[in-house]
Amino acid sequence: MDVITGNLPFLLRGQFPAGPLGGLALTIYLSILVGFLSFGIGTTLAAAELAPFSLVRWAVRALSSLVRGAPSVAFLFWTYFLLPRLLHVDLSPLESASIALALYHGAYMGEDIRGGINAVPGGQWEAARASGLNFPMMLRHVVLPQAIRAVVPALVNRFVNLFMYTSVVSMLGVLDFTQCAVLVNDRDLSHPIEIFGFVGFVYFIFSYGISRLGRHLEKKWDWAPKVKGMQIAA
Amino acid sequence: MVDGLRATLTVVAGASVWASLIGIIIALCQVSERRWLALAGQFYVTVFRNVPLLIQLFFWYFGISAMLPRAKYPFIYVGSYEIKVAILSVSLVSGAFIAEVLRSGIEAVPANQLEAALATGLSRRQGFYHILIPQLWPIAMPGLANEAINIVKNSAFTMTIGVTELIWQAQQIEANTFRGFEAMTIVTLSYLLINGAIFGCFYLIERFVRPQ
Repeated sequence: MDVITGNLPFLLRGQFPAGPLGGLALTIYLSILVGFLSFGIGTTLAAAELAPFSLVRWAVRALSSLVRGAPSVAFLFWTYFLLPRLLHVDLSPLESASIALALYHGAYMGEDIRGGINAVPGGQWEAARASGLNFPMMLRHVVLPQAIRAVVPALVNRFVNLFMYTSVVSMLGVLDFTQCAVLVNDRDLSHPIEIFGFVGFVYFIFSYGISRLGRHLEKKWDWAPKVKGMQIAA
Repeated sequence: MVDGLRATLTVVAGASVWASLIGIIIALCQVSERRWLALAGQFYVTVFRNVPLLIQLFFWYFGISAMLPRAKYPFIYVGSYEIKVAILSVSLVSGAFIAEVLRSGIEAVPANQLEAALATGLSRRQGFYHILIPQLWPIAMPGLANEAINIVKNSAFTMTIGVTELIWQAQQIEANTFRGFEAMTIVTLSYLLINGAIFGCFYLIERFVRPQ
């Protein structure tokens, strides 16, 4: 236990007052940031698939399945090593990791939200159009609120995944919770079970918390349209 | 590069077999009538689905070598220790996901199907094999295809413990020749190809098992 209590400040916030934010605090910050970004990207992608031009729809579908078909690690290395070289910009590991994760999870969320949009009864669209709303207003006020509530279980799964898989940024040397644990383990060398057991336990608490929250929202929004026969992918 | 592909496929093949086994056993536990078995299955799924794969990889990688030192248990370290740990961790995680897919599949088969089977005089075992399982496949197939693809993607994480799989090789090529762009393109294409092949297989199986 000493190895945990001794390194607890480092595990929780990295070198924060003296250096950049790290540890569990960075993992939480990154999850929230990526969560918002990918939700935005997902909604945009789902809306783009309603576009009247088949070329747009086709391009969005192709890009989204390309992103979803590759492992997130491959995607991470693409944005880290190759995006800066292509665009001639300087990205810190944290920045490129956020971009990669946001795009990756955004593609999945787009797929989930699209399922939700399909579940909204056609009458809702017609009613919205009849009451004089234009397309963005129909999406914003009528369709999306119902669509998103309909896919809460899938979205919650996605958020849990997003939280857990922020740990891939440790592969780029970002000092998140996982990387801090790796460093502590490298320094200590004799208590791997305690260290990784503790870290796993903390991750577990958080993701379990998120899924309980999701279950609560699901009950609260019981009136939303139901998605039938949809696979809730990992 | 070919070595990388071989390592990736080894992990994927090994993990698929073990994950399916774990998934089937845990799913059966979860639908069991014995309360402690159902609880144990539920516990397994909750734990292994909610701890990141990366942490589990590190846990087993460092944990096994700490608990079972090389001097006492040399047979664990015969061959590639990394690949064994990789297969173990990926199977434990994917096993939990497969169990969920199978459990929801079993629960989606109407309960009266099994009751009717028992009423016509079949034993529980016969009812399970001849009534439940044939109806389970079409429901569970899409979910299982998803999980198979997830195993391929998860195999990429094993580079962190030093499995020399595709992405690890791409990184080596980048480090040695600075031709990361070409290397990553080929690696990404290989993943898409593997996933495409899996998808195709499942499509064929699905057509085969769908009731006429």
